[in-house]
Amino acid sequence: MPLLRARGISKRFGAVQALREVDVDLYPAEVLGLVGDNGAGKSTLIKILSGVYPPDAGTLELEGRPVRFASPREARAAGIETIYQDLALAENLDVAGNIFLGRELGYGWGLLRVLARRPMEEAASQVLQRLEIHLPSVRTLVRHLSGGQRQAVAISRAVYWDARIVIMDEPTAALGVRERARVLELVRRLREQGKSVIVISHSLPDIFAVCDRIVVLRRGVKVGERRTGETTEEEIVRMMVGVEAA
Amino acid sequence: MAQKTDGVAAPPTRGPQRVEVSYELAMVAALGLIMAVVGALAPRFLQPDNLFQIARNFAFIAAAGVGEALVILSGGGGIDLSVGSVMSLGGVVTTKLLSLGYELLPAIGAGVLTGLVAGSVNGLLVTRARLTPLIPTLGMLSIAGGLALVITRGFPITELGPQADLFVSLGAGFVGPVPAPVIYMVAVVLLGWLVTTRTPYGYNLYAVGGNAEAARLAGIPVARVRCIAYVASGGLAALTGILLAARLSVGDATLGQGMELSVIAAVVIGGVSLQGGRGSILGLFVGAALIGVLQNAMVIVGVPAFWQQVVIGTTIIAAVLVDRLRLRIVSG
Repeated sequence: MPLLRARGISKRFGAVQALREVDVDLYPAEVLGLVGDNGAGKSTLIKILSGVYPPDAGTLELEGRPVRFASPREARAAGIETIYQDLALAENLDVAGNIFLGRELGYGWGLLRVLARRPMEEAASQVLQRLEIHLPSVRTLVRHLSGGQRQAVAISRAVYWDARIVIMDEPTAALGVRERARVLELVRRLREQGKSVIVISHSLPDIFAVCDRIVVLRRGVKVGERRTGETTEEEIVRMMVGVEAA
Repeated sequence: MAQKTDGVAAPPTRGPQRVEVSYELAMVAALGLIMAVVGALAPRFLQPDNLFQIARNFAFIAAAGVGEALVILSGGGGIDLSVGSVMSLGGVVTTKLLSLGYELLPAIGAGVLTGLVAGSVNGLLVTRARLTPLIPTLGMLSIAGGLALVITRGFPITELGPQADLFVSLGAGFVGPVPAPVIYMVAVVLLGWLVTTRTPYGYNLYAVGGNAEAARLAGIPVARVRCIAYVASGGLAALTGILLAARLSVGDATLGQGMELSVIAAVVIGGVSLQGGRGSILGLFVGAALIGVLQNAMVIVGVPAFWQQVVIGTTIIAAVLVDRLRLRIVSG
């Protein structure tokens, strides 16, 4: 049974039909690649899965139960963590502060809540260790980290909060060769730990390197779905640009 | 991106606070230097009674500055232009109630409440009606100042009722050698510093100011975080205005007139970025102290009064230039 099942997802922005009746399944401990040209609807789809937009039509099921997310917070509470292209980190806060962004640990209530900084820092170090991520310190400001390191912080945040599903939007964009390899390695490590991952990428080599299955979108419609071992980059590109296979 | 890729050998990063503190340290050093020079020129300057007098003079700016700093830290072009007028209004409401024979605490409570209401209006207009912060707070500057005039009918309130002495001692009194406003300022600055650095609200404030979109995606209630900053600014401005009225033992609609400029200057000189998310309450404190010391030093050294404004203005611009330069160095 799929962990996440999306059926008939449609979304329109004004005159633009961003998604038209898209079906997607995500299985446990699976890495699913989501590919398509610019404007194919990849970002819209993950924003619906992560609670940023409500779909105009269609249903989401998590472990067979229908779910509706009114906000990113609700999706997160259901175990779906999203790592956005711009990473959604606060550069002026440190690593630990970002891992706990919006969910700070503290004692007391409301405005009188006092931060539990030490426990936050210790928990942050532990999760970094678990993922074998090496950073100078959990007190380092994110502003001072490289692109790959930021990606690692964003992934750690998802893992710390016990995400079952991690959605990554262009995780390797703007990274150097070595950082790219490390991030892909992290994706594999997530799968080893039983997480399901959805990866959006323009880089087909990266998709083929980590994904078990690939879903291709074109102009808001799902035009194909392949197991990675049973297809080629050429076939995927043909589906993306809409040239029928000979 | 010429950084090591595997993170083990990281770029020469420094701790989170340390970078921010380094600007504050530079400010403290500048402050120390000025004090040493002026002290050498005029030994009277460093006498404890003069230092306490300086502290008492900038206490009101620093205390109101805590609220202003929260607003500016919250980003989104956040600024509160109404602090001066709200100070006047708070002072006028409290002194008016005292003159009508009300007890001290209810009178002060009503004054602070007025400020909280003004701050709430600012906050709601900024976060719900999505007005550029400049506009509602500029309007509030006029509204609060006008209301203060309406209440006083343009005349200072000098008759402060049966508890006048107690009230005046709040602003003009001493605890040992320390003027009461200085104790108030230290308490407010300390509280502001603790809230910004030791509470989830403070972290959220920095997150919202640094990257509102990231904060929103992380589930932080951006509008609420910002709104609270405006409410705090209004409340603190009113309370500070009440103490200023106590210090001068008069309720006057012109009490805080123009103070918003000194308050914003202190925040900016203290290294709080108008972009939001960067700077600290301690920086604000040092900024306010620098203004206070400069003003006093110029009087003692004998700089003509008209030139003093020129010097303060130059300091504001110089501080921001230094900050800009520092940023360029830090970010390579």
